[in-house]
Amino acid sequence: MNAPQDKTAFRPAYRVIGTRPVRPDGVDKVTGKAIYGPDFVASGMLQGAILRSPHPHARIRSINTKKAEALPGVKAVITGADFPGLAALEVAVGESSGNIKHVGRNCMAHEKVLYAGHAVAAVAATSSVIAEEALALIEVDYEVLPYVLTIDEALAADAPLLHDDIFTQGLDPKPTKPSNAALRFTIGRGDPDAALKGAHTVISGTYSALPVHQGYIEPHACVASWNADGQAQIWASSQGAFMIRSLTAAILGIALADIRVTPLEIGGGFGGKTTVYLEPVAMLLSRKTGRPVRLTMSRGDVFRASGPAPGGTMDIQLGADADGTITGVVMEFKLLGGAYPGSDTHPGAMSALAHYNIANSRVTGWDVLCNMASTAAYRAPGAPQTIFPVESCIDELAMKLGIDPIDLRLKNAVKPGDVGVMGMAAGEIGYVECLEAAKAHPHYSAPLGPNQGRGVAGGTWGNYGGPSTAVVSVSEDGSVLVTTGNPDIGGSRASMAIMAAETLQIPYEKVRVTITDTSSIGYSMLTGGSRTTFATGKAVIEACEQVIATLCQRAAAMWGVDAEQTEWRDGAVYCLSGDKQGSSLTMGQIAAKAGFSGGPISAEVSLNAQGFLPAFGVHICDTEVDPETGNVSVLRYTVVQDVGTAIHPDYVEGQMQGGAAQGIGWALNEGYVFDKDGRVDNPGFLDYRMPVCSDLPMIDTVMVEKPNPAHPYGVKGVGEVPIVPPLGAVGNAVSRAIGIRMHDLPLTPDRVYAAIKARA
Amino acid sequence: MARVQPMSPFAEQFFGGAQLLDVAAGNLFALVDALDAIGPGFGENAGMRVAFAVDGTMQTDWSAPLPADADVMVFPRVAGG
Repeated sequence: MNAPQDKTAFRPAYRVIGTRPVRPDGVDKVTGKAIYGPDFVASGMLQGAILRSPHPHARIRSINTKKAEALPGVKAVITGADFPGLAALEVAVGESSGNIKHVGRNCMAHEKVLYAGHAVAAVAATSSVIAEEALALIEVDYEVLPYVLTIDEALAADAPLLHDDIFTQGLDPKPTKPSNAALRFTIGRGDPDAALKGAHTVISGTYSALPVHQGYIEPHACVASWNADGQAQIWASSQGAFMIRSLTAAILGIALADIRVTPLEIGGGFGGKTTVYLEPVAMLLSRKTGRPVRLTMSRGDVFRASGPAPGGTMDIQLGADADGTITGVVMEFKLLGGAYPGSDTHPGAMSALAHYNIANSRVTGWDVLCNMASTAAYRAPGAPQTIFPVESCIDELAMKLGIDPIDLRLKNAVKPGDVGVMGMAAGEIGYVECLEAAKAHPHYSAPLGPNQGRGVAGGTWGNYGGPSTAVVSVSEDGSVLVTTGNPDIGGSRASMAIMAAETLQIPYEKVRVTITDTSSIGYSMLTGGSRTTFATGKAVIEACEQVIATLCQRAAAMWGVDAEQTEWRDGAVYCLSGDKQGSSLTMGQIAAKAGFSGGPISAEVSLNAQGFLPAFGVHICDTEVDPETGNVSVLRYTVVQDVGTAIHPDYVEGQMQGGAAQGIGWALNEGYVFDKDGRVDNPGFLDYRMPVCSDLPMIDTVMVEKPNPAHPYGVKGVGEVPIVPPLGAVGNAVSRAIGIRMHDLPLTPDRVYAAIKARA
Repeated sequence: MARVQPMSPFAEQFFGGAQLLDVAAGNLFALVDALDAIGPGFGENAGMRVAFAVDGTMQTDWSAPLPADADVMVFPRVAGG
């Protein structure tokens, strides 16, 4: 909205890139024709249902399924005993990895249940009503065990252990006793203790945040069909059909080529659909019945059994010179990972200070297990929680030293060439440009009223590249088909079409994009890590370049000249020499004669995309606090972000606004609440209070375009970083509005009111 | 010889807490083999859990030639959302 008018000051002028054409999947979605996970129907399909544990921690003594199996209409019942035995084995999960034994047992419990909502049995029946009725007939004999839901409970000396085979990784010497602390990870450099001792000013505090859910509208759903010949199909909504294929195959012990996964439209993922919950269960029910089986989570199931982002506690000490130079930071955080290891400890530690150039630092993170659903990725996993205390301390430091909060950040901001704590020099990053744009924005200098406060916060996220495949085909009439294997969760159809149109120098409307199944294209890593427009986009561009080369060869052959004597311009081949000099052939003219030359014109490119760069953002938030109730209203909000090159600006701005809205919810309203029996007490959108449009102002966006030189069009990932700064920006705004530093999220009215009351 | 700095948790898990290892290797495939010989089990984990930075740049192509005096950081792979 407030993008610089003269974009060529930042990057080259383009034909299609930077325009805002209508989204190619828009009509299907607004008319209800798009097929999402719960919509898909297969011939002869049965309805599945899952029985979930009412206890947060219990040993399964026995499961009696006889009554359920005898119910008319029930075709199969399965339990953990139907799953193959799984050895601990690391497999790819998203850009990282997970222990397949844990992934499998999260789909269905074997000996123990580890959270209220953990699956213990499943039914396939001729109707959903019969399947639900059958669940009530399954008798599970539990030995109820004590449970832990907080970090203090989980790390107590006499805490009940979730797993007796997990020993804290990252300790030297290796521990001899199992623990609920799955991992300790430390990253740092210099001598932070000495730096703190010698600092002019030290700011310290203990901060906390609750677990929050990604809150996607569409619940997890799939249909599986496993034939007697061993070949299977899965139709599912997820962030990666290849991810579903690899995890399901590993859990069930079958060959990858025997599973064909077709991606359906996805109604939101935000990182939460980067693993499997239902697919292996549906596969086993299908094998047992010989028919396709659908499984769909209810909203309650989604909250109870699919991954939230971890909450946690964060202790921080930050030291600075009198001029605001940050000299040292020591931080220790503990994240509640839920039932299985793999919370966001590593990225949280790596991100915490990555937007500042600090000579002395030590960040230690702990992955702590508890009797809650196993956590999953959520936009920039780990970074919001660890950057919140950093940005709060910097705000407090600015107030103490009397320095403008943006100037203080500018003084310490990481710049291109700065070597980070991982030993890597920063590339063409734009944090400084974002801070300067934020300072120049009218929002930053607008006057504030009584009980109002303005907060600023910055943040970063590393982004990713990785393996992708794309196919570009020229139809007989010269229109272009682009095919990829990456589900479109944020507008990637449009961005792929734009990059193809730009490269081929043809109108956007001549390009159509299809997301295909795992048996129809080479491997692509899932859509996550803000990687798709960067990595899959590179594959699309390279495929277009190969198509152009082929078109030039074909035209050259028609003209009887060398291909070097042709030029690709405005979507056509031009002859540069000989009798035909000055002649041209369009894509359609060449493609129409493809059958008389080398055959169909297409190219498939598989690559491992290198050169991704991190994203940076700066958010400004104005809040007003009602001193009588503690209620916080967000009055004005501005997101400034280094976006590389905005391929489709509407989508980029949408990511910035969406991430900010989710972060505001995390800061003000959201959080898991457990009842006295350890069950999620707010498993629905009525009680789990996500912000809706009426809660928020129009979120303004400023796209700072500092292109990535390692991408043909300068792309940087944009989808995750906008959720990073809001926790600090909102927290700082509220703290300034009431004159009290707020440490614990969410900033619900009761907490804010209690803080005001305590001061009075 | 490449100067290899294994970070937590790999330093503790496979290399007895060593912060710096000198390893001769022509590329990252050979480096992983050499590190597996020093810390048995590392190679099995490397493909899934490990990321490498060579001379300050992320390197995911293990076949790329490794400069003789390269600085190699070994750190955990992280996932986005």
